Amino acid sequence: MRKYWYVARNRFMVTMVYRSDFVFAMAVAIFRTMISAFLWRAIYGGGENSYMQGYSYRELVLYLLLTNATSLIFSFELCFKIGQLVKTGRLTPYLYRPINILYENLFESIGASAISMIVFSAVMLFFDVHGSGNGNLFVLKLLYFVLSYILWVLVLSLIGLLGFKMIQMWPLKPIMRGLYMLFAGILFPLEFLPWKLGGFIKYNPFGLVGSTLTQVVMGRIGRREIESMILGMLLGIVIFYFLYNWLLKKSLKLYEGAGA
Amino acid sequence: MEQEVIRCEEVLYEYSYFEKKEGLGGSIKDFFFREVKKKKAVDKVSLSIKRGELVGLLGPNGAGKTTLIKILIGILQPEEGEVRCNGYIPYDRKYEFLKKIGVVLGQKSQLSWDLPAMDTLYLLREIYEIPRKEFDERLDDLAEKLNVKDKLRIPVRKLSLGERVKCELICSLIHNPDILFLDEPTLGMDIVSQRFVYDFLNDINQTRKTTIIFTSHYIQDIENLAKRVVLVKGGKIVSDGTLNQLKENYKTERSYVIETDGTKPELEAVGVGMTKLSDNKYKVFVDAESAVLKSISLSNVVSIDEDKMELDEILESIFG
Repeated sequence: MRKYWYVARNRFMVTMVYRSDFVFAMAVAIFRTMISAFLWRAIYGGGENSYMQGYSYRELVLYLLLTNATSLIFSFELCFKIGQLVKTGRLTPYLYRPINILYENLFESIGASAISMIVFSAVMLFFDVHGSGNGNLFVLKLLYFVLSYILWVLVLSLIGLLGFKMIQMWPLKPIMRGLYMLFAGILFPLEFLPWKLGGFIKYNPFGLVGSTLTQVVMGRIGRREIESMILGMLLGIVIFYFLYNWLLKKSLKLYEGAGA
Repeated sequence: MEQEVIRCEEVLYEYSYFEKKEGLGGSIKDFFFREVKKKKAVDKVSLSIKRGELVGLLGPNGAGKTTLIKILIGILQPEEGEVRCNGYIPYDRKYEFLKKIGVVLGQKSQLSWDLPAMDTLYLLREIYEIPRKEFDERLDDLAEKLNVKDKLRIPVRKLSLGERVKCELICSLIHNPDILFLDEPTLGMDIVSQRFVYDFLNDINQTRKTTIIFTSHYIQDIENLAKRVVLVKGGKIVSDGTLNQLKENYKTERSYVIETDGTKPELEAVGVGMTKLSDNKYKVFVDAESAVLKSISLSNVVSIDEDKMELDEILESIFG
């Protein structure tokens, strides 16, 4: 286990080297939140006390702030990193060292977003203590956060395996970004979607790490539902874990370690 | 009897590729249908390497040297044949196997580009579960021998190529592997750095009895390092022996410098390589001394001198 701690530590140190990347990512998230907030202000028509789908304007702005904060933690980097490693042949060092690729990727991702994760956990604690929802659920919420992160890494790793088949992964970027914006509820809560299936959409992997996570933090989701989702995520993690390992074995047969 | 650490029997590996058809029409056809072709990169190779050997895989670009190394370290799975490395099937990539090999693949660095080599080494200490005292002693020894003690705390991107390769070598040896695989270890290095690497690898081979297998197409690498030379061409092993044996084997293949009156010597009957050295000088490689004497037309020949083949010329005649 110690080796994975060092993987995260090294990745965290690399993040420290590229501080401007972190600052720019935060600036983008803030701008996006501001744009959404101004848009929703116009939709609410200045009615401070009016509600939409159970959200006041202030609650909606808070929602937008938190979901955009989650986008700093749940990045797509891993998905395209695998494709790039395959394309350049730089996956090779991952294969000749006695280390599990999936765990290495998980801890590298944790190292990359460690600062955001710590800040987000602190925000989560603050909301649990001072929020208006069901208090004293911090441990449960934290467990939800951790499991949603693991599930996210697994989903991205699975998508990243396409890199063994596709020479260029970049065409996937706008598709992924679009799906994320819509299904993670970055611009509006998923309850605002007109579809009847809206209730189920919040359980999609993007929703679980965006809209639903935010609502868990805001105390809009009760203990029982959080527990159910934790169980669901555990099941998802087990399924995706076996699926990933099976597909990785198959995909590695396609790997030729491009270049010398 | 010396222990065999690597055994390949009739190993075959093919790369898949497709040829792009010419022009716009070809591109459109390719969009809908691509004809996949196969190329044998390693063609029924059999090889046995004993513990403590220092073996050079030598061959031109595309000969299959690196592919063979990739098979031996478990990156590629051979389509046919059997491979055993230190008693393990490499492609299974069992941790016990991976802990006993060290790898340096020229362009596939395991160093973290933005961090000092020291941070990668700390990570490797944990990956290979090296006790701290052992790690410190070994690191001290390796850094001293490679003269990079003062470079280990500088970000890798700030190091020269030679310094980076030396750090790679430390990474590959920090866990004291039984077998070290090196792919083009001196590529792009200056002569001083090359000399350092030669001395270092020879020392590691002698003192630690580490089996070293390296690929190269540099004559200097072979002359300074390899106790045994395996020549690879077109995915096949065309020669396997010591450097002296190699020279001995090609003793019968002589070369001559023929000076003419300016016209080309007539050597059709010989059917062996001839290169033009200058306007009126030609170098001829022949299998047997008698053959050239019988077939050459002397009408335009001014002089014939025997030219003893050097290693590079032997290789040129094999790979040319």
